[in-house]
This record gives sequence, C-alpha cells and structure tokens, in this order.
Amino acid sequence: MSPLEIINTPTSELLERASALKTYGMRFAQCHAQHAADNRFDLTYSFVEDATGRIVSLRLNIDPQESVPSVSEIFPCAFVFENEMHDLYGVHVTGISIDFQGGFYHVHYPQPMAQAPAQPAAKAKSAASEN
Amino acid sequence: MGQRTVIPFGPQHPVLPEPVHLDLVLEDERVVDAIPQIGFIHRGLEKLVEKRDYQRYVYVAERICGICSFGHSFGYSRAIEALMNIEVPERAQHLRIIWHELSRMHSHMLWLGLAADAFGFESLFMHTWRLRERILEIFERTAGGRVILSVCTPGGVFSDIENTELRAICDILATMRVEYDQICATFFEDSSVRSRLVGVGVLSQETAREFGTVGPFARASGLAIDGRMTDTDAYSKLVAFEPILSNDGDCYARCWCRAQEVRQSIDIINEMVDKIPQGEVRAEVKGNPAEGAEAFARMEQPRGEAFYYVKGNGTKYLERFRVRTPTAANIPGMVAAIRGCDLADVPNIILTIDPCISCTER
Repeated sequence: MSPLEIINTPTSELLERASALKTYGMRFAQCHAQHAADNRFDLTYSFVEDATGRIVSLRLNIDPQESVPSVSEIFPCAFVFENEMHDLYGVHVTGISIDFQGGFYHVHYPQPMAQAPAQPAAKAKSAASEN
Repeated sequence: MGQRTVIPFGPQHPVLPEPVHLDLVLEDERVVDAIPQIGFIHRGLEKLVEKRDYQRYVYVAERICGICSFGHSFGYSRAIEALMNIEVPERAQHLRIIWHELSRMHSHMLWLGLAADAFGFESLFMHTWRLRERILEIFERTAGGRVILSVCTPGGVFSDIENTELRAICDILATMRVEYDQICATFFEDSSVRSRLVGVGVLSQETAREFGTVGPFARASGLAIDGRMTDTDAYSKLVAFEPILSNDGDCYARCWCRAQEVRQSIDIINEMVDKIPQGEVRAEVKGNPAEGAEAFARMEQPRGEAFYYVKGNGTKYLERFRVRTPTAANIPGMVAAIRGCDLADVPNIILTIDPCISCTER
C-alpha cells in the first residue's frame, strides 16, 4: 500500500502544483470535499503514478464561501468531480471546462452533503454503547 | 456544414441498463459533441458511513455495485486495513484474489452478452450468459450468494474454501475455457461483429491519458494502467503479470481486451490455487480508527481502477468515506470517443465502455 502523501496547499498554488504533478507524469485520479474543523471544507486532489502505484494528494482547507479555481484546464477529466463537489457540497469552483451550474446531479435536496456530518450524535451514541 | 440538431439520448434507452443522459449535438448524422448528465439514482451511500459501524459498513460498500460487489467490499476492507494497520493473513489474501478474479470473469461475460445483444447477436448473448452461470454457481457453492457474496470483511474473509474445492474450481474453469474460446472465435471472427465495431469510437492513447480513462477502456488505447501491476498483496506473488493491451483504441479493441482478460483471470486463479498457503483467513480487528487517521486504497475492478478514501474520528463511525468508481473516471473519455461518430454507433460506443451508473453515483 502506498504511504500517505498529502501536501497542504494554499488555494492560490493549486493550479501551479497540479500542473507540476502533470509534468512529473502523474495521472489525476479524483478530487473530493469533506467537512473540516471550524465549519470549513477540506478539498483533496489525488494523483497516481501508474508505474509505481504512488498516490500524491493536494489538500486545500477552504471557507465554504471561498471560490476555488478549476483544474479541468490542466486535467480535462476533472470536470466530473468538480461538478460533483459543487452539487453535493456546494463548493464554488470557477472555470470548470464543462460547468453544469448545479445540474450534474439530480438530487432531491440541494447540496445534500453540505450538511454537517451527523458525528456529534454518532459520537454520543458510540460513547453510550461502549460504556 | 449541416444543420445542427440536439438529440437527447437516455436516461431511459433500450441499450442502457442504467440511467445516464447525453445531449448529442449532431450535424446531419455525425455527432459533433456530447454533453453527459448523471445523478438520477444518487443514493447517498458515502453519507451513510456516518451512521453505520465501520465494520458493518462493508455490507453497504458491497452494494455500491451489483456486478463488482465483491470488489467494492474488497476495496473498502483494504482501505480500513490501511487505516488501522491490519495485516491480512496470506490465505485470506489468496482467497480474496480468487473471488475477485471470478468476479472479473462474471462481469466481463455479462458485459460481452449485453454487447452482443445490443448489436443483434442474440445467440451469442445466450451462450455467454450460459457460461457465466457457472461462475455464479461457484459463488453460490463457496459463499452462499450468487451476486452479493458478503464474504469479505476488514481483516480477511468470513469463510475458507477447502483445497479440494479450490481444485474443483480449477477443473470447472478448464472446461469453461474450451467453450469460452469457441465463443470468442465466433465473436472476433464474425464479419457482422467486425463491421459494427472495427474503427468505431476510436480513442487515441494521448486522448485516453488526457481524459483520465482507466480499465479495459484505457488499455484498449494502449495505456498500461492496471492496479494489479503495483499491488502489494498476493498479486505481487504472481510469477508475471502484464496488462492486456491493444493500440487500436476502437470498440473492437475494447471487446478484445476484455475477452483476453477473462483468460488472464483463469491463469491468475490457477496460480493462486497452486500457491495458497494453509492458515487463518481472518485477522481480528479491534478498536476504532484513530481521530484524524486517513488512508487511500486502489483496486483494479473489472471496469478499471476504483479509488477509496477513508478518514476516522475515534469512534466506530467513519468521518468520511469516498469511492471514485471506474465509470466516473471514464465518462470524459466516453464523451471524447463519441465525438465524431455516427449517431447509429453511439449505443455501441457507450456499451464498449461498460458504464456502471449505480457505482458512479453511489
């Protein structure tokens, strides 16, 4: 299993670092959003080196209102995942090569995963069952 | 330049087992652009991880896809094992690969039948599915289920397969191989098949790489992308592993790669059965994933690379589970392959990518 390589990246350096990874020969595998501390989002962009199986990830910590530049100009395949981040989490991604403006996923509730995780309740439940 | 027309394709279409929508922009009969849309069957399985015990979530993970069900339970288990530093017993590693390669065979045969049916070769469809039935019978004998096996778990597998049973599986596969070769000969030498598939939906190696394609779709365009090449568990014990490649990049090449991969899977299973050691099949998994612990895992599913991410929070519930399925990675490539083709070839091109929309939307 590839050791964890996560590089904390300022939003302003995302495109530059993604471009450098492409030049190095890495393939864009995916990006996803997740909730972070202080009501912020962590965005993780993962890249794979096929010859070795090495996985490198760029990690952005953003405010939910902050805009993030699209990497789809560098990796055209990223439009699927960037639209997904927008539709499920409400992440504002600017300049997506094919921007569905929130219409990529037909979901019943807008941005269904933007709701804070049910972790507080889950933690309480877990603590209760362990005691 | 002819007049431009937009034709909606799907989400309900005879050739599509699952709903995906394409707006096809046509100039006369030629497709000049295709705009995909998914999201009709989003199930929120990633969100569900916040409310399910991480050990029991494996039953949800294997329901991400009905065809790659074992592969998803395998991939999820691997991610949890990486998260919690669990060493899987060697016998379990071998058993997992045997089940996983059987799943690949059953997936490819299912797809081969569907593809044959789509271009009007119904007898080939029936013979392929007749052969696939034997794989399902092996699943039933060894795991009790035909599609959802529920046999893989973090730490190993729930049940062992006796060595005599493993030998019996190899015998079944040996007889299957003879019949499978006959089906392949029909498939690849028939002039009507060639006329529908050769030179259709060509994706160059450069475009395939640029658009991030994976699996047989990528390998049919000459890209040597196969997670089994760099795998660190029992796959690394294979004497040799070379991905099946073609440089043609058309529908025919994609069919050919999958057909060859079935044979390759039989060879891998035979080698695993020869090398399987005695011992335990499950390591005990205790405690909860640590707060903030993260792990990635990659799996070569029948349709291509699946990518898993898990994050713990100190409880028995995970903070985040993410799976990027092969079809999600192949959608941009599919759009690129469709551009420039005739309208009548769109169904064949979509089918040769073997899309799984349920997986993609999770």
